[in-house]
Amino acid sequence: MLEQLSFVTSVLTVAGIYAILALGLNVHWGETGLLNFGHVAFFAVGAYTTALLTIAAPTATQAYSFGFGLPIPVGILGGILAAGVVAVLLGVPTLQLSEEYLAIVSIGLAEILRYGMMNENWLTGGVAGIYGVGRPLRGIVPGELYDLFYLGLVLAAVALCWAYSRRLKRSPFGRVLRSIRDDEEAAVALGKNTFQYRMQAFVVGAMMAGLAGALWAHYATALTPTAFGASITFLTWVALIVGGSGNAGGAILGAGLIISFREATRYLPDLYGLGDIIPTLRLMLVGVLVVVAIRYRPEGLLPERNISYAEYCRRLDYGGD
Amino acid sequence: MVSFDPQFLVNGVIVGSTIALAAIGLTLIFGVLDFINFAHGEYLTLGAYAAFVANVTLGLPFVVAAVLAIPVTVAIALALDRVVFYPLRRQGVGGLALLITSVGLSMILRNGIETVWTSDNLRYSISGAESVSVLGVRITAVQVAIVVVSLVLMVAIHLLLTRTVLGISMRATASNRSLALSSGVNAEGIVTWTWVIGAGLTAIAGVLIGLNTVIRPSMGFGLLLVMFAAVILGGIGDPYGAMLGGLAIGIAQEVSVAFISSAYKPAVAFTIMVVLLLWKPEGLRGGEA
Amino acid sequence: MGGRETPIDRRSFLKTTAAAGATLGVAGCLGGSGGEGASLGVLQPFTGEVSWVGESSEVAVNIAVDEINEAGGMNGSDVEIITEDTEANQQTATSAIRKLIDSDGVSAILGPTSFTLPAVMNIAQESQVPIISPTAGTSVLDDMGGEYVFRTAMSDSLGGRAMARIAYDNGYDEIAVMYVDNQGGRSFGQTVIDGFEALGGTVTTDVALTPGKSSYRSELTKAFESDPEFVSLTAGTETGQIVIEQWAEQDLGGVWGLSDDMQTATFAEELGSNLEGSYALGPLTGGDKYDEFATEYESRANESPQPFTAEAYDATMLAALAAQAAESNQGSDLAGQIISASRDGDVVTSFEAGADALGNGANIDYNGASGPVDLTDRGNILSAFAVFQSTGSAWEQTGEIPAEDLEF
Repeated sequence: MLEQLSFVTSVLTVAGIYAILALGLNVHWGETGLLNFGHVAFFAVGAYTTALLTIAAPTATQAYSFGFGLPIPVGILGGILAAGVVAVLLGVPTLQLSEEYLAIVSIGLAEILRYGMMNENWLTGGVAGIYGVGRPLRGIVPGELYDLFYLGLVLAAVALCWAYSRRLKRSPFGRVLRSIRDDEEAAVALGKNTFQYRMQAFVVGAMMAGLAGALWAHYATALTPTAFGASITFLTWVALIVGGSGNAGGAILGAGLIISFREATRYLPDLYGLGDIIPTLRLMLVGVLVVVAIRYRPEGLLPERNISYAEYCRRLDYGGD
Repeated sequence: MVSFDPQFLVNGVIVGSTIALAAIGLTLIFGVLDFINFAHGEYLTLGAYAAFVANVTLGLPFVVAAVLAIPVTVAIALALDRVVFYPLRRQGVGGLALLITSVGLSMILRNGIETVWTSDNLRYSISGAESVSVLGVRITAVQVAIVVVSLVLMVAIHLLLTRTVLGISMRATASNRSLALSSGVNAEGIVTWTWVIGAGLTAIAGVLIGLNTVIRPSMGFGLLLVMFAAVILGGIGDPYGAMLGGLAIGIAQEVSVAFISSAYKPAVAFTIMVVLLLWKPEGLRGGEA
Repeated sequence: MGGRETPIDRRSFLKTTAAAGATLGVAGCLGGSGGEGASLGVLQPFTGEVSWVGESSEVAVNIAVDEINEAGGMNGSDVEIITEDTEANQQTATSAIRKLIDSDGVSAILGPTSFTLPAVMNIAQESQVPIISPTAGTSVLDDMGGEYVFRTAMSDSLGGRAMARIAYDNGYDEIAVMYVDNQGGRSFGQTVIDGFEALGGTVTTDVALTPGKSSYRSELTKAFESDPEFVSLTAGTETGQIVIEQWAEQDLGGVWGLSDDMQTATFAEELGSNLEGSYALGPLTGGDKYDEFATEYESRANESPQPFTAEAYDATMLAALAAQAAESNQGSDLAGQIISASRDGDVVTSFEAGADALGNGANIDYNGASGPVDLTDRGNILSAFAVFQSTGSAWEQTGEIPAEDLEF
């Protein structure tokens, strides 16, 4: 049974990383109304940055050129900051666009970034990627307990981001964000520099995604660009919406649910004749879960609380029409 | 860098016309129904497979199969709307929840297709793949047909949108839903027709793409982002913009191979879209309805 | 507030989903635990563009397992196979391998492909469960294996040089190189370029093909702009077929040098006369043993063996023989016996013969369906290549490239 625990540990670790991603997205969409569909870009930046900062200098056979051998905490911090910087770069041109445009442009930018990662061998090792990324406290924590230790690390990070999200929500800054989200004209009329607020929220959410990426890098120990495709962004969105956007707990719940479900489907019994189609069937089931979840709980499992009066009235209206 | 060969341009026009057709469907649906449908690529795939079943499995002549693909795909699209999207619409659920639902739907459809037909590349049983050299570029009879059909359809759509009551109502609903409703437009009727036309066009695009290349489960999904780029380029809800956007992107992608590493080819569509939007946020035809 | 449907209570939704997930999980616990019997994990892509890899691999592994079980099993226990889908995706592969190791307790893992092997290597190393991959050619692995990571597929760095040899030895001094832009394609393509230039030839253009696309016409125009007479193509059968069909359509001339993925009977048949005269690389398969395997494969799958299936069969055999040598089905025990079971001993070609010899205290040298299967200290295979040419409907072997010719 101890081995089962190991598998559960790994599923929870991945779920935890997605929870951090979802929390970041929650700051973007749930709090600020930013339709960011390029979230995976920050995840990737965080992962590659910490990898490049912490691995040893490359040998002649490796494609990438950098490796600074710095300690892991520096790497993780670097990943977070780098994601923030990229957010500023991406945010300047795009945060002025309307919602739908931001959505599609952000996908485009994330894809451009991914192609860059695949082709610029000198930086990222190209399609072969980077492997051999270190793991924190590897020598100190005993082998059998290491996975649990790392899970603990990830959960601590989740708790940190969750606490920060809650504080953000209650802070004056958070109130301004929500007012921009719900009624931008009013916010502007009140003299708020909406662009600046949006940018700050964008950076905060991006940094969380960067943290998630850094944690992923030290968990997976190998990075390839194919692991950073748009499906990660979609999965994060699904987790956020199913769990409840605008609610930090919802983000965590959604991530846990979707990832656990996806992994639990691996145990589908190999009934007679069904064996061959199980792999595609599993993916279909995840899709079904999403459709059903939205159908019966469109506002998410844990809906947003502390909503504004205007938003409250708007929701009442949904029942009619 | 390779010297510019007009072959790239020709390839681009062919690819671009099919993207344009699918993009028109996407933009109409987006305009009228007000949500980004991530399952749109799957309608393209369904159209291609429906024609495959008719042509290869049932042995019907290709043109018959191609025509049959349209009502089959439309029927499925309408059924999906009724079962999946309509209940959400009735609850007044916002565009984002619909979007996420469409993400789930696209997973179901795509993997469902792969379950039945596996991921093998499939082809129609039709000849006409030999190319002839015309003015120094190579083109096949099939490719000429593709461009011609696309053009005919685009003209037909233009006539529909400008000369028929339905078309005008669709455009009105796409640009200002509440105003259209209060003017007496039958919203749900428009919705149905939007699906018919949108899904129908996309199904044809799927058949044409399958004809020009191969049929595979991910064919529509793989083009989804490119279709979105075309839609954005042309302005959301604007079918003419979608046509231009589709052609522009198709041409740009193929021509880019001459100048930059082909490894970046897929990124070209996005780069154009991003650059254009930053310069002109309303899209190519910005501002017009 | 009319018209609103009764939403399902949040609690009941959560309860239902959790119950469903938990049931599946518990079923897995009860069903999956190792203990009695031995199990081998097949970790390959079963969905997506390269789903054929997983499907064909499974057939080959099953052939081996049936043989093993008929001869008494691994250390007396019947072997069972557990398959997990990597979706050719790093994240998925990571959780898939964890399930195989932690939840299913497999003795060894067969697979995965170049896409995901670098990502899961560490997990295998740390859990001390050996990986023997029949499908990972990436040159990244050249210096990394030997302890818990092995492969029965030849490294791309060798394949690339073999391709360069084919072009050079046949008198072409200017070639173009096209390859699929992924881990496997790039490393192979780059080695072709390096190898050909080392032999003194010139590579006029190299073109990367984005995987999963349906049209490569413009890429073909670019590659053939300088009118090369020989073009090396590294791709899978799906992409390869599209490229060659569109090349034929445009009447571009020249002859192809195809990587081993495309050296299948179906491929040659389907492309027919378009392919006539083109070359392909293939493993120098082990005569009678291969024919036996091929016949069995055909009777089960209704098609001739796909690329890497003979290697998958051999990987399974090697794992089982190593377990016999170690007298244990524990991954950590049999890992150390894998290399020694593959060389320096009495030659055996079947599990039964190998188990007997080991039982008598001898060292064995397993020779298999895909070749002599001699692993280097780094867990790599070094053997000869076969050169094939298409007759217009089938592949015919027309030459050989011995291992020495690959060193230059």
